[in-house]
Amino acid sequence: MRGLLFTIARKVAFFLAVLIGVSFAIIALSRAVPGDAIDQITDTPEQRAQLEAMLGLDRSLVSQYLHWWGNVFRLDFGESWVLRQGERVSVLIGPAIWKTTKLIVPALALTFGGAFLLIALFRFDGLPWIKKVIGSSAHLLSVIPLFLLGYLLIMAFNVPVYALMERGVIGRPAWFALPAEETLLKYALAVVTLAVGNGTLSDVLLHLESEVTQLVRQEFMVSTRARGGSFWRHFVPNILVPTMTVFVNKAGFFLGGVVVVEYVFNINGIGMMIWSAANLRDVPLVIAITFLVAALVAFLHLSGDLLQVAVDPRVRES
Amino acid sequence: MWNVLTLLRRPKAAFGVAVLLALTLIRIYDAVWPYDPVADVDMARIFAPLSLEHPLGTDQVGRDTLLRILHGTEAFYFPGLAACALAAIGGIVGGGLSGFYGGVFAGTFRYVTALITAFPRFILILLVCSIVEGGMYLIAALTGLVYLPQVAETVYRKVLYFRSTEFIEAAKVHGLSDGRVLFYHILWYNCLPPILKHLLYLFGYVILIETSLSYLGGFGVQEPDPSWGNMLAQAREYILQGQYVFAIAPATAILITILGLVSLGDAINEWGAR
Repeated sequence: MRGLLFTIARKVAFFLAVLIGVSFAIIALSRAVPGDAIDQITDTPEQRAQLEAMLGLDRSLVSQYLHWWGNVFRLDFGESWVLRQGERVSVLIGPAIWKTTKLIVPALALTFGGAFLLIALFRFDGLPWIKKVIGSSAHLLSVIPLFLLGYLLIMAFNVPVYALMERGVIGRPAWFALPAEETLLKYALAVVTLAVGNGTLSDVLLHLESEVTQLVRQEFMVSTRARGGSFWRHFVPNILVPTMTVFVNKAGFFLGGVVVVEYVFNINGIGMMIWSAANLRDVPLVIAITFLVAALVAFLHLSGDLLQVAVDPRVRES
Repeated sequence: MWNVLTLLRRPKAAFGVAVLLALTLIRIYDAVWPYDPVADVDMARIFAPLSLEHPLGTDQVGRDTLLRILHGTEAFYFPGLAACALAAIGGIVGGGLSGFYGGVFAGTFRYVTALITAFPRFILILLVCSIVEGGMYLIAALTGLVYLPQVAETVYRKVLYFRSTEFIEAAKVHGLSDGRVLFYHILWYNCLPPILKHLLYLFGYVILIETSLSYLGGFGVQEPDPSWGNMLAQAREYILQGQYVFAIAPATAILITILGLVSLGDAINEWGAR
């Protein structure tokens, strides 16, 4: 029991250390070379000094850093400099987070659900040709970069419809040429793109397939089947931890991929916001989003580790 | 030792080697006959049909699409190699020493890699680009940096496993230096294929990042210089007017190149694990 508590405490401490390191890296980076960003939004040296005093840039790095953490606990990330000048960052990112969640959660479900379906198909005896064709095309599709896959999907819908519209066969559909409104088709295509592109699907598929193969070959699984015991009762808990590990390792990919997918599909989520903010050198907004996203990834890593501790008695004692 | 001919007999590997070779030849060709995107503008031949003179046609200001595709390799070729060098050196040295010696160095290195992996790759690149002006080499260096933990992890696991094998114990007892045991007997003889796989994937990833950033505009390659990404972004405007080749050409170039690198990486890994 003491060993267990010690293991958990060590993992939580590592998580906190990562959180501190990540935030310090972000703040130090943004303060080390403030010239570029501040020069772009100020004209005279007086304006510059005024802005620096207002933003606390004239104080020491450590003091700025502690001040920043104090604000984080009050969920205060300062004000946007350029993108939506003067608005609170915390207010700006709320709705954007919701739009991105609507994109990421179905995409994760699609990637992992799809991967398990494909593995079930690969493990099914027979249909060697069909299995091979489906397997290779899944890997081939997955190699395509996100922006290209999104582009191809959009064109696959728009080009034929445009041809029909030109001939006067049909009217202009509401979703044509990706309007700013949230249409179902737009979200569906974005989810498919995010779930498959940039190597995501093939990577998850490869990892999970090797985990499933290893598990099914284990002696206790073989003997369970030989005794006529329930396959699923032993399969599901044992595949859970490796799945969580793959999920945690992939979470960062999804959060990064969102930038491209939201740009291509014109969705105003977190990804679009950090991209515009980075382009306009809106440093507080970029810092806030980067910190939140990095904290989320670090937290997922911690949960993955803790789940492993909870399920696997061998890890508890180490 | 490593018999390269048995590798080339695999179709995936042969395809990947052909792609790498083609990229290198294109770079040499482009260095000998440089391409000037401004001098190539010719308003008299906007969207010229495919011909021997312009095998892939021309773009919206009359520049030759094939020449732009060839010159587009400049954006990622040397930055990609630089990224591979960075990830290889950092990953092999960091992961190798962590696995071989453990202790404080391993703990510190694990902490640093945990910091890097906490950032989603694309977002870290955006963060740095929004603060520092740098261009393609900065982006490539960042890509190498975010890929470094993966190389290090692979090397670390391998070294940890081999460290306690009998032949390594024997080599140590023979009085070989730690460096020779680690870098020659463990890494060179036993870990090359997975490291090469990671580096080839990384090269593909640099292309992916470069074309993505150039497609989005802002931080990637800027007009008039060509990149496969910004060519595709321009083609977006003209595809509904029926200019399909203009879009298909860079898209195909991206796909074939990344596919070639990834399949060569896979082939090397399978070949090493046989």
